[in-house]
Amino acid sequence: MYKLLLTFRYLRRKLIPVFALLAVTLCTAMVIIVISIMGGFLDLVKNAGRTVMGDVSCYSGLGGFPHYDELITAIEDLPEAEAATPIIIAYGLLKLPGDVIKGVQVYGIEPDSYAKVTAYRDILYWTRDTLKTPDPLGGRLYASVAEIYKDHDPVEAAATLTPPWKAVESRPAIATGLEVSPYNVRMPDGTYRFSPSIIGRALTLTVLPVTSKGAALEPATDQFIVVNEFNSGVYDVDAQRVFIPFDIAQKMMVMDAATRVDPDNPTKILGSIPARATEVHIKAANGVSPVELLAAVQVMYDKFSQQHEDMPPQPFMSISTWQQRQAKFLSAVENEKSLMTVLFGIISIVAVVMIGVIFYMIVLEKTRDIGILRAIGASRAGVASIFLSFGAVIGTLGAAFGTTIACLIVMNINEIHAWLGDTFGIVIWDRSVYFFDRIPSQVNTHEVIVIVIVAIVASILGALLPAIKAARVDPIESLRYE
Amino acid sequence: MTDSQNNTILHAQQLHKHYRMGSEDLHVLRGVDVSVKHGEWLCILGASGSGKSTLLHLLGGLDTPSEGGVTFNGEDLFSYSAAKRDRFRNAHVGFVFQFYHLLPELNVLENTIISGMVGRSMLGGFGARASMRQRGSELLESLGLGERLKHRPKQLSGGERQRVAIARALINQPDVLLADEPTGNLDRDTGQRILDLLQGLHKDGQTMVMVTHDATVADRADRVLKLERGRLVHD
Repeated sequence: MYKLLLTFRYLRRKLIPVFALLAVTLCTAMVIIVISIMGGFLDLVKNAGRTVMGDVSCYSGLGGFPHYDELITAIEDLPEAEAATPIIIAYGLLKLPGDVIKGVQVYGIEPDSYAKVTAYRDILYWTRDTLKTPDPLGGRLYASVAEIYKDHDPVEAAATLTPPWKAVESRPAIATGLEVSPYNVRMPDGTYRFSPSIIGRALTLTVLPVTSKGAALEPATDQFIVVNEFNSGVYDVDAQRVFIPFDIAQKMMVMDAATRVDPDNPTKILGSIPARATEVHIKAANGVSPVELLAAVQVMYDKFSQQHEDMPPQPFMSISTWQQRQAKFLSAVENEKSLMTVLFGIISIVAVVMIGVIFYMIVLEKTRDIGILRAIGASRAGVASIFLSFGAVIGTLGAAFGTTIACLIVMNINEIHAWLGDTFGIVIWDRSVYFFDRIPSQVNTHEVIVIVIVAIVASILGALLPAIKAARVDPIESLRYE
Repeated sequence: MTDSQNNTILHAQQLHKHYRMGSEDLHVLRGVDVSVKHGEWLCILGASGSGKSTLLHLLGGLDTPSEGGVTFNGEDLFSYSAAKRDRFRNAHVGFVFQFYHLLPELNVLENTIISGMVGRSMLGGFGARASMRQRGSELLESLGLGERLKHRPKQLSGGERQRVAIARALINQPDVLLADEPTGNLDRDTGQRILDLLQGLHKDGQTMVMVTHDATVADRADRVLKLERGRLVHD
């Protein structure tokens, strides 16, 4: 009991333990903040893959491959697959109001099946709820869009990629990334201002078709009506991608079915050219991992390509999970996270040494007290345990303070970042560099528990040598002088 | 066992103690024989450096002799395990030092009952907390420190500090009180009052061994032995 009393008295009456406490607090906070943000970043990358990609995808290059509909039927017959969708990927030039021209990545999608495979519907920016949200600038900005959509649902318009308005219903629709229009301005708090919105406007898209052999054809141009915008959270996607209907993309890219005729005699039909798609994305059935789905699709595709000799065999047809497609990027982040962990591990060792030194100083200062305690009958182990429990208390308090500080910082990291940017003009998290518009702000409970345990153990370890030193104090020597 | 042996509480036999000071060997005690009887006040008089503190530490089991032994009620102290000797010091001996040696972070009452806490386990300590505080307060009250329970050592005068140290030494009702120059750091009047206090304890039956260099202090004791060049000489 005297050990507890002394532990708490030493803690309360001296300045030195405060430094030890501070060291543990800062180390714990630092490690939790770094691990949370790096880990959150990794999770974001992974989840981002889920919002815009299928679990597994097949692709052979921009020239595309035929028989995609048969392939999709065969894939959907697999018990491992839940749904599959064809995509045409092309690069084009988009002319926005004010004659602004932007290079874009064009995704020709079948919105129905694409929504089954990806989180397409969830990333749409304009919904009935958005339009009901009070306008931050007093009704001027959202009002124009709300007026356009007063009789229709913007999500439905995007889900069918058809303009819902009478005058333009025969025109094809387009859904653009939220960062595509230069008139959409992102505020530091993550909301957007529209000056003005491009919803309902007609944009001109030009693409350059290529044959399956890779030869370029005449550029194709069409006008599209903007029905919605989307915010996937991945900056690159939001700044570059546009969605148009699959069949329109197919025609523009000259990938639709055609008949081959004799050039000398156009009435003579030589054969038919099947329609093409550039990618097929697949969603795994419930409880099936992307890796399991991948194995099933690869086996199936080997048979499929033998039945259709114009289909490219693997590996010319590349079949991979979304993780494999993002592998380079994912592994870079994983590496960075482990590098950070190692670095902070080293810093933590420094903290342990610091605690050791601080405790050693306390023991030196308390040599006489130790002698007194020994004289009144305290054992060596009892004296050592005062300093060990001292270490445990400092470790526990430091870990608790550190965790609290880290959680407060991580959970408010975007606000803190915005404040730094507003007040000092410091922008650490550049969206165009880090791919995501928000800094991850999730704290992983498991990691925190491990870090807290390590902090406490490290503090006890730091106190161990000084405690042994305390146990070895010669009471006679320490009591000799005042 | 004879009656006189029966009455002996502490007995030191042929105690030798060497200290190493660099390459020099200091032979501080050179064969000390001494017996302390129950209820006796023994004073050991010696010049500084004569080894009187060392003798006191050996009698209290705080230090170990180079040769010879100490028995407590007939049992050899140095055949005890370290843990048992710790318990012995806690239960049977009370030390009073020249420089008081109070714990600066604890208040007067806590300094007094810390000896009681050391002897108890965590649970036992919590259980006996109230009774220990009660006994500590009463003891301090009887030593004239009733108003000082919550004060820290640095807020006390030298005489008050020494009285707290005596209270700490008495809290476990020790068989022997071992006092090392208890008045050595006090002015004459204060020293006298501390001696009055010790004399009162002695009257109530407390066995005491006191070492001092001051012959006037030694006058109060039942028996005085002189320590000269590491050997005891009868007065």
